[in-house]
Amino acid sequence: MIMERRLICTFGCVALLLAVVFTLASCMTRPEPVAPKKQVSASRPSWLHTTPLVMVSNHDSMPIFQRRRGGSPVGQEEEYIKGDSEEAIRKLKDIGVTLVILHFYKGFGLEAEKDHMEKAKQTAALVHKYGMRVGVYVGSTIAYETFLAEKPQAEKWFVPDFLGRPVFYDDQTFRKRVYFMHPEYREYMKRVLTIAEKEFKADLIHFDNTSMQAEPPIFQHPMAIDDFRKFLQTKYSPEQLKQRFGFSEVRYMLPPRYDRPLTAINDPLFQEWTDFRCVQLTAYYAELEELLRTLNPEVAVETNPHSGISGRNTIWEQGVDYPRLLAHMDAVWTEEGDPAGVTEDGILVSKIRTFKMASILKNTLFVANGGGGGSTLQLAESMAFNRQCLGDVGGTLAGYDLPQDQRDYINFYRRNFDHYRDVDNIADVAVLHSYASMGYNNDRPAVSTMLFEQALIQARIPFDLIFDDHLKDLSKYRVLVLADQECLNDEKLDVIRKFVEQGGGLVATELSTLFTEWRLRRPAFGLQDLFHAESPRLVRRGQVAVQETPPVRNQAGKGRVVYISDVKPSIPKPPGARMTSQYWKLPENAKDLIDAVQWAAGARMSLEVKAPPNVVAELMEQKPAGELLIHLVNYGRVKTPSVSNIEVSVRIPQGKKASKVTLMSPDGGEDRQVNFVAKEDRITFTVPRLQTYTLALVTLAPR
Amino acid sequence: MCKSCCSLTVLLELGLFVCGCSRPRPKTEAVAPEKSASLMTPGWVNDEPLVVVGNWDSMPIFRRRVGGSSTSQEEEYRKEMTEDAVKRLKDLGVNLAITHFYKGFGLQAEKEHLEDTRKYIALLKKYGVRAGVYIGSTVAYETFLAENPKAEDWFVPDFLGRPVFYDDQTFRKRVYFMHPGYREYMKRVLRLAVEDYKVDEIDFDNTSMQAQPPIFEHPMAVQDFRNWLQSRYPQEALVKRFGFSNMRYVLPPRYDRPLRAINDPLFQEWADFRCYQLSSYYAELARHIRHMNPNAAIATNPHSGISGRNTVWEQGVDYPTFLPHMDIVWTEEGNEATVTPDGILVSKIRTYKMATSLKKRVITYTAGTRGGKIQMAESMAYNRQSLGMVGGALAGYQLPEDQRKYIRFFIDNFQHFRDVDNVADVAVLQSHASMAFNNDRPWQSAMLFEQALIQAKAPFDIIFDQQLNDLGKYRVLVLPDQECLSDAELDLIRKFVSRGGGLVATEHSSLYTEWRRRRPDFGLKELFRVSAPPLEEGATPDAIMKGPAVKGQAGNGRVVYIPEVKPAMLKPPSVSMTSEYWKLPVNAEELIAAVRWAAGGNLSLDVKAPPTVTAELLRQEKTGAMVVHLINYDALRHPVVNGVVVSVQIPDGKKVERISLRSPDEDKSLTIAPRLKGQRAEFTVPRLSTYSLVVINLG
Repeated sequence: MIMERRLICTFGCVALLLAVVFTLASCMTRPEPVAPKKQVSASRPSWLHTTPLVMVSNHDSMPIFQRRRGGSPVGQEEEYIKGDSEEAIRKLKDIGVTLVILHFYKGFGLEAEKDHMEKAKQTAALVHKYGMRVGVYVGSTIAYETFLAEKPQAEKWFVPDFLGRPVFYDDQTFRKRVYFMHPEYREYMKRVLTIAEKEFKADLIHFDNTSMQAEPPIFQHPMAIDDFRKFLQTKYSPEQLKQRFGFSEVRYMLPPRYDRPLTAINDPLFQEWTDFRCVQLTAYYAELEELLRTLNPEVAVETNPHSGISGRNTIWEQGVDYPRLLAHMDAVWTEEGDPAGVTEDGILVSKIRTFKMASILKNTLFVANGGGGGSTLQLAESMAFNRQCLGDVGGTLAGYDLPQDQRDYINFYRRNFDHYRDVDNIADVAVLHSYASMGYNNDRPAVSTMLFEQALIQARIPFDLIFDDHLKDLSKYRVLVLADQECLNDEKLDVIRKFVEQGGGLVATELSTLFTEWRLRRPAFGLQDLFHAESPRLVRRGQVAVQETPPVRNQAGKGRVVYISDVKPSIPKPPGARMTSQYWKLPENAKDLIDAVQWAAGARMSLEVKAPPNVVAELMEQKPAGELLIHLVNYGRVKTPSVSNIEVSVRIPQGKKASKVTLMSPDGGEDRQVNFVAKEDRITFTVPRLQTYTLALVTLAPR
Repeated sequence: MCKSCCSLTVLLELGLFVCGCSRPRPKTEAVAPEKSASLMTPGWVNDEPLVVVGNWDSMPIFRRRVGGSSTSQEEEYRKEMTEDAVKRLKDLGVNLAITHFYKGFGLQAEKEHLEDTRKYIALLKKYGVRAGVYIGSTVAYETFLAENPKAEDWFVPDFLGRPVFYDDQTFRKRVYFMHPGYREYMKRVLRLAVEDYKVDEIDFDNTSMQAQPPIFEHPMAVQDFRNWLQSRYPQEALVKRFGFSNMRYVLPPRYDRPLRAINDPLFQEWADFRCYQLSSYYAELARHIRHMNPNAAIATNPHSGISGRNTVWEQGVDYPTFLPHMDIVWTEEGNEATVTPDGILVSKIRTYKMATSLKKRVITYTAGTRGGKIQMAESMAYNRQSLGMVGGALAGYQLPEDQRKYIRFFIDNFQHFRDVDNVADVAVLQSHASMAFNNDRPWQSAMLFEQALIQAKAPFDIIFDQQLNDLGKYRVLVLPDQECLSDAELDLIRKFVSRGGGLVATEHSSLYTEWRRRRPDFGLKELFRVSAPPLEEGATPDAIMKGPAVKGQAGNGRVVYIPEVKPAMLKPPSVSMTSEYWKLPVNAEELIAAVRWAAGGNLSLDVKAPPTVTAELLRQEKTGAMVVHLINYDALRHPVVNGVVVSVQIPDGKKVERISLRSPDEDKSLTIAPRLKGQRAEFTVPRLSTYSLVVINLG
């Protein structure tokens, strides 16, 4: 009886959730992202605001996983035991760790994982004893060999074969994949989370494998197909369905079983299905978040969608639309790779885009950047671009094996934490990543956006990476960049027009605004009135030819507009391939792009740094303390260990003046004050020597 | 019933006989036909210059579902349907507009645009433009199943774990077209078109995809295949073919690796079966259509023409058995007439010749944004009474003036394009078994030998097995690596040579039987006077003979054996012999010299012009006129060719009365004075831009 009531309750909740999600979706006639339910920052656990996050983790060290997977070294289990010892935990505390993410639930089943969960519980108590926070790992795959023995009905959660192949995790065939919206699966996961909160007193939940949960094969589950049809019916009226598909009948629609490389995605079903997958993934995490906040308002929720902003079309490939997903998260992992540095062929590789994405969405980025696979350069990148988090510096044995230079960086970070907390960046430029442009085309929008950003990074232009919702308030910015943002709806065009009319600058490239948000081609650019450039001609369905023309500059209202026909890649990306870091070489016309931005801004940038292109900079402001912070990172330190005499010019906020400039660095030496020259609303100073990382602190006083 | 139709019926039967096919009776086979009915060509097709436009895919249901359209597309769709647009088509010279009708969403789902079509057809008729309608062969299941839930049974299952849909349009499922439920449905669609809409033409699309291998994994197709084998061969013959006679457990090959030679008898039979089923399907629909309206023309789109693709294996399309039931055949092979930067003359000449040889018209994109003057010229020269498709339904607004001029020329000179037959000294055989059961050398050598003939301007036909029964028209038969020939076919060839015919054979011609079983020596060894290379182990292809060409007299005929057609660009094994490999073979001159020698005298047409100029010689029986078409394929780089010298063999008992030169590139026609040398007339075309037509009036 109790069971039945619970089931009824479960189904009721599920139905309610779906209704909420679909109703949100139905409010729109276009595939707009679902609006975040709330301002997450307001509800973030308070400890996240006050703790300098220095993490370690041991998600996968327990024997049940290591043995089943195979290939571990013989000493692995010994290290596992050592890693959970009090000495190891104490040493973590000593090196400055503040958060330990422990193995908890891998997916073998709560019964099968009982032994290591018990052990983790003891370790969690030790972590708490030493004043650190405990995070727990929650996997999303199912190791069916043990799981089914506990829960035979889980067979129904598994996704069927996709194109004749079983759907499992990477090369680990014992980890099956599930349709995560299956009500029974969700109930099970809630049980897992309840244990995490009630028994482990977890301060943070780390959800893993998020990038794989909404991949196309998952949505071949019969329940997903049914959910998709309902989604369409709820999102659109019959008349709108007809407009969208040519007919209103959705009962027989099937998700695409398709794995050929895609360039542009024109099929409306593909588009809607992509949106649906994003909606479902978001809905799932929204539901779990809600549960967790109810169980413990102070628990932080974090997820691992893997790829960040690294040139992958996460919307199509993974059902991950960051603005939607992260609205329910406090922190986000990236495992994109892209370790900070400069490659042999001169490509500056960074995770700067991902840090900027997380920041604009009020999340903290988690990344493994210390220990054997990390470096002080990666830690520096995190200090410069992250928010209150240095990253993951190793496993639970980090107290034994962390290199001294990284320990120094941790010490520096903790010692100066007051300059890293409660900050916001100053950005003159906003680069739009519109959902439809980036989700429905794997080629030019990805190429041009990544390369335009690369140009801005290496020119040290202060910029944000923004999403559709941010168009509603562009007041922070002086220039908006549309780097082949081809699919924008009329409403967004109006917002952009208004921004320009009121004095904003606009730099647009290639096919920006040529398509609607359904990727239907307009007869001419949607912002033809601003671009004053000839629209490219239609070649065939969904394809247009770009003709190279000189940049067109013009005044529009109080604003300035530049149209550039081509962001010219130095290394062309093959069609359909991801725009990952091997193609990030500065574009051939990088100078044109930067000139255009500077002209469109109509005034000098808030920050100007004279340094080689492998030095990057980020400008922050800490309003409560009245500070400006300029982070300088030398990405080319392997070839150029030291850069001298970097001239920095920064705009001082109205009503303020600079009282002193202090340089700080974990690379050695004392903090030191440097002279500066104040002129009009700017000051200029010189950083005599940059090794890997320097923080320039401009202390402000009332004018 | 016309004479040609009668002979075609016989040829079809003979073709099946020559291929070793007795007619099987699969369960799903259509009711036995009155064969003549489906073979009649409507009179209007013979009497009118075909100038075609089409707008079959512009209706909103398709455009919206497929996505990627422009925001103004639906406005253009509505404009297409206006009286002004139709009037402009008429003014342009269009005589056939093929419009949207049945895409496969279901008659109910397509109701709205079907209503538009009805009104559009009324407008076309008002302006005297013939109406064709598009019939798709895929099923857009999302709407179709709502109308016909039973259609689930028609769909083909996954092939090698992958769904079988149309190209990248995952909403268009594919069906086993011989499913009785599907055939009945299609007849209903056709009834609506022919009886209710009273259309002049039915235009079947996606034909090339209907009999592709995955389609025949349908359970009903598997059963039909077993029945077909059982009916085709008696027990003893089955044992001979497969080593056993119980066909109950045979399965069609689930195989998609690249194929070179196809030796497996099951693969061979299955390819034949697919061709047979596709032909049966269209024969049944053709009878259905002709029964309702004998004057409705039928077109089909098997896509690839003769373009180097093995259509028998890939598509189940065997042109000689498939086309007799059709009046018009589409090609979407590409191969737009041109000379590539690396000097390859690309053309659709082979496809035109195939269609002509089978007495059919060709429609292909010749004008508008997908065409140009050279393509229009090519259609005038090699097609029959068809200028092809000159654009969409808005062509009346959009077509460039130079293309309009070509249309006017075609219509104004139509008397010289109608009721013609080509004069061909040479026949190039494309034997079914040789071309279907080997993706490599037979294709390479046939395409390249034809390329040499095209660029040497030698008058030739492409012929198929059944045409071996009557080679009376030709002076030389070419066997370009035609390796698989039956004993009966070898006898026909021997007879041709013994009566004075010339034979040019290359590589392994006649070394195999029609089941691709290797003979101990060439089947025509006594004619070639060459012994075959030794048998190779395993799947290794036979070696190429060393040494020079061997010439010899055989009876009254002359025979040349050439060890190899030497490609200038190597085709990788098992890939299609498409136009990127059509560069003139290294020994092109040797091939042409062999043909001339085997012919025993001058060819009917001799043209002195660069190799990128082609020529076609035609004769109009009724008027007795001869017509020479000249095309400059390289017009983009060399806009004018001066002083083209033409020499034509005048039929015995005739003499030249007048030679006139016309061209849509020139303002005026010219009269040319011939130089008569015995029964040959020689003259000079002073200037060839893109296209010239020479009319030789005989008395």
